[in-house]
Amino acid sequence: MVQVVAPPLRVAYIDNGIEGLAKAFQNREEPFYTPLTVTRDFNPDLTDTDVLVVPNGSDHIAMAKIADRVADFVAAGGALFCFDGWFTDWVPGYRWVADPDTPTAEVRYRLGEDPAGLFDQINLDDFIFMEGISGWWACGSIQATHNQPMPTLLHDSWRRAVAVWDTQTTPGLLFLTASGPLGEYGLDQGPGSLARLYHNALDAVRRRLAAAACRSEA
Amino acid sequence: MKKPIGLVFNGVWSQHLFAEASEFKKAYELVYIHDLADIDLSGYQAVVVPFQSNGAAMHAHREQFLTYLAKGGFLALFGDHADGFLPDTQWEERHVDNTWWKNRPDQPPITWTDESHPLYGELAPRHRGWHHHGVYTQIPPGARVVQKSRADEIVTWQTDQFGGLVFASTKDPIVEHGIRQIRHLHHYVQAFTNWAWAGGEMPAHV
Repeated sequence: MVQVVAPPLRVAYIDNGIEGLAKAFQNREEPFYTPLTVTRDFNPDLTDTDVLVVPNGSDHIAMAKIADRVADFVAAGGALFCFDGWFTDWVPGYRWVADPDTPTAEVRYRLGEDPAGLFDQINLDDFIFMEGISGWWACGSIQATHNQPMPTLLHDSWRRAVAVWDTQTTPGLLFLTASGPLGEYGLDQGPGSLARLYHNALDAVRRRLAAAACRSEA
Repeated sequence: MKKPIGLVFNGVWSQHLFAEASEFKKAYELVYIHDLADIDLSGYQAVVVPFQSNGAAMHAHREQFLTYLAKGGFLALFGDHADGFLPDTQWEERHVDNTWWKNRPDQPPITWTDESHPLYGELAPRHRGWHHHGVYTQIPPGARVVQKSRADEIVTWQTDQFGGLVFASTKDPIVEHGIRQIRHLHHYVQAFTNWAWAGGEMPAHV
C-alpha cells in the first residue's frame, strides 16, 4: 500500500474589499489562503487552487466575467464553495433565487442528504436561531439548472434547497449555500458551528484529494 | 439620461436588489465601482456609498469623490470605512447588536439623535435607528454629530467643509433594505432618498 501525505490545501477566496474578509480567511497552520483581489481587470489564475471560496458579500459582476474560468476549474476537478447569493449566472448547474419576503419567523431547516458527514457533531439549531431569532442565516434558495437529482444538503420550511453538496453532476465539487455565511468566523473564541461546518467541508475536500492521489499512485 | 442618485455598487446582491426595487428604481442608478474611472459623478444629484463597499477601490478613487464634493455634490457614506476614506476620519469596529429589538428592546443601539436634522426630524423615533457597524472615533473638526451610540460614540455625522455635503453613518440602510429583514426600514430609506434627491438641501418628506 502506498502512503500518501497530503500537501496543505490551497484555498483561494474572492476579495472584493469588504471589511472583515481577511479575518474570516486568515492563514493559520493550514489551509493556505490566497486572496483573489477583484480589480477592474479581474483575471485570476486558478491553476494552483484546490478550493475556490466565494464568501458572503462577494462581487457577482466580477464573478460573471470569469464564469468560463470557474466552469473549467470545476470541470477539471476543483472544489467551488459559494456562500453568497449569486444573482448573475456563473455557478455551473445552479441558480440562486432571491426571496426577501419570506417571513423569517417561520424559517426552519432540515438536513437532506449528507454523504460527507458535514453536519456530524453540529447542532442544526445554530443555523436556525441566533439569540432566539430565526431566519438569520440564509436568504433565498437554490435551484438546479441541470436535469439530475438535486443533491440538497439543507432545505428550509418550504422544502427549498438552502445548501447543496454536489459531487455527482460535476467532475469537481460544489458546496453552495443560499447566501448563508461560512468561513473561519469567530475562531478566536473557539470554532462555532459556522466554522465547524466550513472545516468539515474542507476535510471532505482533503479526503477527496487524498483518494484521487491514491488512485494516481496505484 | 442619468438617474438622480448614483449608488456605488460592489457587485453585492443586496445592493443590486435594492436598486431594482420598484419604489427606488427611478431614483438610484448603479455605478459599478470598477467602472468609476469612466463615470462623471457631477451628473448625479447625490452619490451614495452603501455598506459592503470596496474599501481599497474607494480609496483609489478618493480624488474623484473629493472633486465631486468640491463642486458641491452630496455624498452619503454608510457602514464601515476603515481606511479613513475621508481626511480626518477614523472608523473602528464594535460589536454589531442586531438582536437588541428582541432581547433588550429598552436598550436600542442608538440612544441620541439630533432631532433638528432635516432627515431625522420627520421620522418617528422607532424609525431613526437600528443596529450599526462600528463607530467613528474621529470626524473632521467642526463636523456636526447627528447620532450617538449607547456608549456615547459617533454613529452619524455630516460636514460641508469639503464643498458639498458629506453625510456619514455606520448604519446600513441600503443593504438591509435589500435583505428586507428590518420591516420598518422603508420609512427611513424613503425619507433619506427624498433628502438625497434634493441634494441634502430640503426637509425629508415621509
